[in-house]
Amino acid sequence: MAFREIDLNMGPQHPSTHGVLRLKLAVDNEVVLRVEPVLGYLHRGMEKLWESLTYTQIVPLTDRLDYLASLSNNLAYCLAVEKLAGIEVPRRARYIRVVLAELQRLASHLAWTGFMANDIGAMSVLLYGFEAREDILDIFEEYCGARLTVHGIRIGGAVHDLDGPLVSRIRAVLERIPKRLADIRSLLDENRIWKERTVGIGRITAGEAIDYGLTGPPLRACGVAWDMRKDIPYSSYDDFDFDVPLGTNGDVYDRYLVRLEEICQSIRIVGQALDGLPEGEFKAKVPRVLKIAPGEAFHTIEAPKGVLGFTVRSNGTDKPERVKMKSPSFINLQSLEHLCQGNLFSDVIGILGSLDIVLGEIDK
Amino acid sequence: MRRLRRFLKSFFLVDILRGLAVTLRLYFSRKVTVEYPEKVQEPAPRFRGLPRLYRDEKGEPLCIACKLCQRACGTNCFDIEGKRKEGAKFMRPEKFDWKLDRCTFCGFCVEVCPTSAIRFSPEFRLTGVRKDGLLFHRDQMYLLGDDLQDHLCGGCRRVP
Repeated sequence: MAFREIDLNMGPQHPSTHGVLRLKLAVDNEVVLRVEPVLGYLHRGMEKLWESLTYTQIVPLTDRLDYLASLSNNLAYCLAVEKLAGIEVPRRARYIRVVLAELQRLASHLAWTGFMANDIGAMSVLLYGFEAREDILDIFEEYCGARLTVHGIRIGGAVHDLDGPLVSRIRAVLERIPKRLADIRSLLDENRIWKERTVGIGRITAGEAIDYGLTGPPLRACGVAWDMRKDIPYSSYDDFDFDVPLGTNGDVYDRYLVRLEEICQSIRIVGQALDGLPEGEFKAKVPRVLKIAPGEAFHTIEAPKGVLGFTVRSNGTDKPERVKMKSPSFINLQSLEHLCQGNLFSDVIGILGSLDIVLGEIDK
Repeated sequence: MRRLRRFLKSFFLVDILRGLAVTLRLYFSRKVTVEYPEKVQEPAPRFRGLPRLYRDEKGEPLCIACKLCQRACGTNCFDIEGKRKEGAKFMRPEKFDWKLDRCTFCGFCVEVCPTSAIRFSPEFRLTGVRKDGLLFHRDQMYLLGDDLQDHLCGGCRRVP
């Protein structure tokens, strides 16, 4: 068939773009030539808005960035402010934060598994993944009273203490999740349709992935062992024994395997943190109106989507002069064109899903 | 040998049958879905529902119009004016406007309140059909439960 380049428009209202993302595609018959993501449909001016709020008032707004992993956003921002203000967080608070952040990783990855499988056509996985995620959201509701925009981590510690009934409830949920995970794996791992749509699709080599600045599971699926929890430990992560799962091919299937293995590792970390939960305060003494001397601090954490960083610059008042966010979804999305080139048009959805983007974090 | 096994596996649709076995087993397992309007799940004790103003045991308002919640709020939900009556010990709110459409349910107002006058209620049905239904004046802030639903929407009350 003769070469004929067609421009196609996907989104901003499309069920598989996970939000309001618009993709400008150039296709030759079925083969993708170019992809250009068009951003800004969910822009809320967060970074500018933060300049008019006090340090504490910013924390609930960070929930609204990556709304599938709001506790990770809380944690990254609070760690940056604590680094800037020199606040020492008690050991018990650090452990509680690890428990919350890892539960959030579980919830995010389970939701991703469901969305991804649903994009490719396996509807039942969506329901099973969400059922397991529901248990974790119930824990958040019990812990701090909200399910998605939790606002559970505060500057200097956590919002509540982890008490006995909640700990046993978390343990019960952690026992249930591997069973649900085994169901998902037996539905997908060997399934010929799933493998047909994922194996060898959207490949990227380790070198290219580093050049594009990929982080998180898409990078580890290429075999690069880069995990902030291991390499630059924060919040007592060096106390725990866990592995960093790696892939080999860097395709969509390996990203799926890496994420499922990360779920198992997160369960291990939460179990260890609950076993070794030290006595003490769950929150450091922090003045209600926090005034920080002029300076600048940058802190990164390993969020479920990748490396999430916050830069906070203070000017001596109770409000920051500038807060800049390095969001993993935004940086991972820029590799989309490279991943999609030469693949079929129908695989764009699978590749986009495998990057695990959240538009709240991309557009800010 | 491995090729033969793989051929037999794919010929007899082993992967598809394993998946179907999972869905069949879960089809007969316990249902987890709650049919919402007929059955309502109770929120957790710490649930951050609609903030309400509470009274003490004698029916006296607890709020002393100190405006700490107004200052703690990141989204300017509050508009409070207090007045001390002749001979009264504390100030009381003359005006206590609270805007539901601005609230992010972060919980700062509840945390800073020195008299625990403003607290979260388990009310999660927050829809309204008019913009002014989302603006709560002082006396509406004391309302609870189904009276509140009359103020808000009136259309989505619990089915008994």
